[in-house]
Amino acid sequence: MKLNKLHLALAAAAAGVSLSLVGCNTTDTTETADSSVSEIQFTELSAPTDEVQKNLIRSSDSATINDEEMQIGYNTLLRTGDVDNGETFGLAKDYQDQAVIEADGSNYICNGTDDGVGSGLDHVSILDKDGKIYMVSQFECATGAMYMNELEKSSDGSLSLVPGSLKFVSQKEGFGGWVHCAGMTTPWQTHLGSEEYEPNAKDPSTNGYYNDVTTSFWNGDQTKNNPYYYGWTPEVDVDANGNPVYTKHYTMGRMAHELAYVMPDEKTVYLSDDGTNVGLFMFIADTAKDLSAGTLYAAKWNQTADNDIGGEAELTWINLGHTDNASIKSLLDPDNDITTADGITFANVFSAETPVSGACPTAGFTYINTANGEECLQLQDINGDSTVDAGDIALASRLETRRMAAMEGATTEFRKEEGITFNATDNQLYIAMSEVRKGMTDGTGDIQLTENKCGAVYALDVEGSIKDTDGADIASEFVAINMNGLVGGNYLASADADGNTCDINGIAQPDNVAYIDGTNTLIIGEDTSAHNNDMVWAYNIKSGELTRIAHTPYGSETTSPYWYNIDGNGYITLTNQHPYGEGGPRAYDKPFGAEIRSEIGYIGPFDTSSMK
Amino acid sequence: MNRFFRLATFPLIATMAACSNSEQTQIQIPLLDNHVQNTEAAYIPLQCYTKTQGMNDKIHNPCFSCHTPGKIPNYLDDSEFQMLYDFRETTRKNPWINAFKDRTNAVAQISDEQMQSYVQTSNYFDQHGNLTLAETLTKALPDEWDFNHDGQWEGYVPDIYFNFDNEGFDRNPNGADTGWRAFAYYPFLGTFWPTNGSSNDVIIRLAPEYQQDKQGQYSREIYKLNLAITEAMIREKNIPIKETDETLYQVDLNKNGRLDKATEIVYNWAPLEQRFMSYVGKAKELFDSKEITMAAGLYPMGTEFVHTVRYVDVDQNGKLTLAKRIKELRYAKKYSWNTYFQLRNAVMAEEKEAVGFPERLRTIKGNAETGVSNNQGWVYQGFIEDRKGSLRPQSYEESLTCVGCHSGVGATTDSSFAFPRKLNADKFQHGWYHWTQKYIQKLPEPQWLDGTYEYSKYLVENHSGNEFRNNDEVQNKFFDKNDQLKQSEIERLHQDISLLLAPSRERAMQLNKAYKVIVDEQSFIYGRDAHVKPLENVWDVVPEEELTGVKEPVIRQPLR
Repeated sequence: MKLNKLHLALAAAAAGVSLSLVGCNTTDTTETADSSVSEIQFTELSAPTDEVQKNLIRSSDSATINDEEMQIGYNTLLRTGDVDNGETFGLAKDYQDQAVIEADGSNYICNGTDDGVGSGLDHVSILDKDGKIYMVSQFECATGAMYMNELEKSSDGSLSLVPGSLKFVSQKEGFGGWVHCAGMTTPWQTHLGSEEYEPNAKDPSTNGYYNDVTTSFWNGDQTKNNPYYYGWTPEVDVDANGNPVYTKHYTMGRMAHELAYVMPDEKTVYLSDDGTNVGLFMFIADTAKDLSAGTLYAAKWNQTADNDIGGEAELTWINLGHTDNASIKSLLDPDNDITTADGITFANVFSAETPVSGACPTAGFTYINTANGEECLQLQDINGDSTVDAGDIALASRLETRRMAAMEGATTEFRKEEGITFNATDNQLYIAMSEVRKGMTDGTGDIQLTENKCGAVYALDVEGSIKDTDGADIASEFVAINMNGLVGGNYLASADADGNTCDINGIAQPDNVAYIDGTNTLIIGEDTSAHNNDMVWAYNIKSGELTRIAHTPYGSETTSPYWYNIDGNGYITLTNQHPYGEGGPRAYDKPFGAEIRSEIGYIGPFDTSSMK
Repeated sequence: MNRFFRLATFPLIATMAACSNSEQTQIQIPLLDNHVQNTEAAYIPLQCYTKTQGMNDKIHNPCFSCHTPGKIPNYLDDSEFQMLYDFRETTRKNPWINAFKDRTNAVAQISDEQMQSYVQTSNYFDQHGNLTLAETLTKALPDEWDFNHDGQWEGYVPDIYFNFDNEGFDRNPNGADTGWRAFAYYPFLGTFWPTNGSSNDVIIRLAPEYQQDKQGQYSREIYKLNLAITEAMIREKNIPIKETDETLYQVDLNKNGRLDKATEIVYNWAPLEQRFMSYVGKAKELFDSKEITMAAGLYPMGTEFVHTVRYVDVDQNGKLTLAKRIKELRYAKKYSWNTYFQLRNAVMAEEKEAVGFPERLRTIKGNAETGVSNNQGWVYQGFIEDRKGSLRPQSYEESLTCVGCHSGVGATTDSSFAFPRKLNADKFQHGWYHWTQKYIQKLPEPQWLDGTYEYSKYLVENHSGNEFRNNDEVQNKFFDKNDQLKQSEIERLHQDISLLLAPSRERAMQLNKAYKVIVDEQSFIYGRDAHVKPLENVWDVVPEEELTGVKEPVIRQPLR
């Protein structure tokens, strides 16, 4: 079986609500001169107007793939709390792989309140491996859990859980999981996850997530915890026996990982960093399909133009050095016993002093301004070779990626980088920037742009034969050379009658982006308060046409959707973090004793036989 | 100042005079949609905009009243808000512009007689003793109140008769229990003291299955036990009861290992150590079959509260009584059960949101007909006076004010305040009585577990009788010319909280009038705090990075 994945952000029907995508003869806005490009058309969804609509998931009710019609529906795969094979989907486990139980006897199952507040299941990757279909799921809690199971495909294309196949993915060798956010299926059919919002190692005690991990993963023993354990990129493979093989990659750095996105060369990985005053990173593995060793680069924004959709820049790349997982792991756990607190501390990496008026009082310190605020830092002799040199930079660039990048002159002014996707036809990368604000518009530093509170999606052309800022070759054919605002939202000076502060006919605070391979369609999902209801858009990169194809209920969240094409059938997976929020105006008022659980499901199966 | 009023069926519109010029601002009271006119952040009360640094750099800390490390399963520790404002960019501007109004002229146009007559006239009962609002909701529901246009009122329909017996139970005109039971409690700090403008009461009702025997028949004895068990679970302490034969209920209430005669509900609950509690009667059956659950610090599913906020009635002899006129009828119901982890996760999510979207406001579901959810299992609904003084539903925007205090602060127990502050069993009617039966006079001052006198602590930390420091009466009574607390008054306060909480007739009259002006304007969305002169100690715009000046947070404790 060949599995093509298209990263697609499409919100859709709630459990039990079927969605029909049927053929229609909408205006052809896709440039079809290139016969290799398939055409997907969605009919425009109206903006929600009344209170009932605002509380529903609504999506385009028809679409075509190369004029082919099909009937599809929404199908649940697994609900948080489902029990199979003796495992409970979403249950966190401690450093001894024992289930975490709260004082009230309740299981520590990553789910929000029954009213839909709180994190839950975030991303699910479907893997096509050894003739089987697997599913790896990650939960956005601290402690963050991962589970895997097998799926079976029936003759009509529908997918379902193989009973008895649910397995817990132990992360104890990587000190447990942490706030797993977006993810992807790598070209070599593994799950590549993320750990978002790394704890500030300088002062982790005020970080609620960090304290929560102490409580739940380390059984309340603060001495066992270390902030450097979290903020990395986990990968899960499935072995020939159908068991998970977990790796935590330390080579790709420690930051607020939204997403690690692997390019078609299976070596180049783009890394988005979520937050205020953050960087943009690129990792190039030594060996294809092996992310355990390689070189990390940080982007420098060299602005060439300003406009109201995010401006334009040439990108250059600063080499932060080469290292491997083992070298970093040995700093976190020198005695190879996760239960002993012998890991590196912030003071081993940097000495720090307080800046005065944007400068450092003491020679030898470097002033930086990142997500952790203004700091003056001085790199330490991390590897103990009595010199502070490139070897220490390479280590610090993994432990403190954003800080070290800033000290090396990289740009740490981006504001909430989110989804990443790639258009192989045009060799263009797309990155969503939730807002063009704060460090991007403060009149200082590399980025000095016109504010756009509604955010923008950037297009980045990629090329080979590019040199880094030191003039050395970068060993990749997929190096981004520029970063140009492609589409932005329109901020309203005064909110519209419904309270939307971004134009309802444009994007607001883009989050997930997904290029549908072999088409001209870029899907843009929102995570915003500037629209009452988060929208999902289909953006035609050739015509510029923006089509609203879905919106989620007021206050609800659909995360990390993805498109899979397995043996002639397509599936849009999506997770729904609080399904009960979709009932209507009285959404909070549900039957006595009703249980609300996040779930993973898919819309489909699509007949993809006509796709080119 | 001229005020013009216009009534329309939809939307209800009142016209008010703007602060300092003749420009008229229309206030809409939309009940058929969730349109927000003034602020989406109406869940942040005016009290949060208090200027904490006063004359001579004196630091005032009323913040500890709400912002304190929560007691599990309130996983929120917001004690840092005692030290820093930490407003988001979108909320630094104080939206409560009524705070800056001078109502001197408007107040002067209301005579004492008019005001007192108004305060002493019920807007809850009609002259025949019918429940006015309930009649309207069930028999003459106005179209402009019917959010979903189905001809039915789907929110709370008032069903308390304020006819409480010697156990605090409310009875309907037929003499049957309504399920509502009044309890006396130590009024919460500051705003909830009558001296600051309002009297309050709180009444509780458990769901029917907690009122019934195994056969589903109402039993007051079973209901009383389940309320005592609820109190034990909420306060995490033993609760005295009338001697009870445990064999009748097959529950070891006193946890002595056998079924015998119990004189107290012993709190002994630790599921991880296999120590459990149980309700009695029908609820026990449901608990045994795992259809309901129970946990320390959480109310049973279906628990309801009614909280009336009233004018302040001080008679000509200076005696404070609970006023007949209701400013607001507030209602809450627990409609879903959240486990400890779910509640922990809710707090975590708030933290994630603050990192990711520091300007983003809370999303609050609900509407004027059904009330609004606090996202932690409770729905809140309020009824407030219309221009004529009759109770009407609050709009969505007006309802948002419920949610800020009833979630998102460390001081709450399962989202609310009063029940853990219930008087102990050594008090009148074992603490089960309504303020109409006996008010706050001669009630001794509440103490924390470590013995700290709570109201005295407030005066020490805040150096004033309210958040806004405009209560001169308390100031003069409790602080000397050198601004030092009068120890003699503190000693008296320990014996009788009414010395602090009860205002003079003159003060009550002024505050009643000031509030009546807001009612006349229907300008609740701009602030509903009663004061005549503009408030001086609140920020118009909180400066960025502003600190309160408080160096160490005060950590609250439960009451003894």
